[in-house]
Amino acid sequence: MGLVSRLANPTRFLSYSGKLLPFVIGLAIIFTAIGLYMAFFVAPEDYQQGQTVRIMFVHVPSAWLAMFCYSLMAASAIGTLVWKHPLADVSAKAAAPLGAMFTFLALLTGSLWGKPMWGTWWVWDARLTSVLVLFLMYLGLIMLWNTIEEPAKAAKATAVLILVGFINIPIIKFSVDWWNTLHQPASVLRLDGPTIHSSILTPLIIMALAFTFAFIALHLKAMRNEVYRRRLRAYQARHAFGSEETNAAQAAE
Amino acid sequence: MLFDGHNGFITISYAATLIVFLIAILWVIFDGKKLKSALKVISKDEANNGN
Repeated sequence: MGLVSRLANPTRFLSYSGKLLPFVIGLAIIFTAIGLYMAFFVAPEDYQQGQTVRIMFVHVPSAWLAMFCYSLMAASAIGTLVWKHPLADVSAKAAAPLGAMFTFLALLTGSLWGKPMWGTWWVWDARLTSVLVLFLMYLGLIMLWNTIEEPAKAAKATAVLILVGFINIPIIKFSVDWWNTLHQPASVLRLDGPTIHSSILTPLIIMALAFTFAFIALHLKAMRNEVYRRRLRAYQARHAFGSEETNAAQAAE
Repeated sequence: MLFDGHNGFITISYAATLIVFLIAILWVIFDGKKLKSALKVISKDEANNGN
């Protein structure tokens, strides 16, 4: 909590994040290089899926990040509503387009895997439909932020909507257990351990780390941009207010 | 070779992922540059007004 409180100062956040960014970018590049090498040259063909298993190395991390991103936004929403942390809304707003990006990638690559494996691009089963709902929620939240002009009001409204929408995250996770779906049940994040062979699991985990570091780097950069955008807006508002006062004074004279 | 058999699905998946990531990277870089340059103009203006 100490670091979170210290980061309540946007100038301090800009200073810390500026120092942290090169390391995170470096880690993302290193893990991407190792992950891609393992995905194409080390991981064997799957006995059922053949070469198509390689799509999983981008599909699964995208799906994980899509849900992680929303969970981060939910935590930020609590920060906005409960502690009124100045960077909480900045964090949520910066994460939304990235969450939409990962959800889109999960849907697209899942569809590209589904056609050769299931014989169809899309089915309205619980997992696929709940992920599509997540994508639409991201788009809805982005639109809400852009529709409400007053930043404080926009922050509150979106925080409430984020928390209401969070119900979809456990639905996505457990949809494959609660309903009869074409999508296979969880094979990595299980209580009794992963059911995937280590030759496939290792590259998958490395690609997941690569995606996670890429997300952290993009999120930090997007947050920095949002801080700059708010400073610019504050200046413009101050400037407009100053001009109005001058005009009023001239009119009074 | 890239599109033999099921390879096309793999190629398109990785190409789409690359393109989407590139768009995101370029978006954050150029958005940041645009905002920083706007803030620089303002700080110059403010310095001039202060003088």
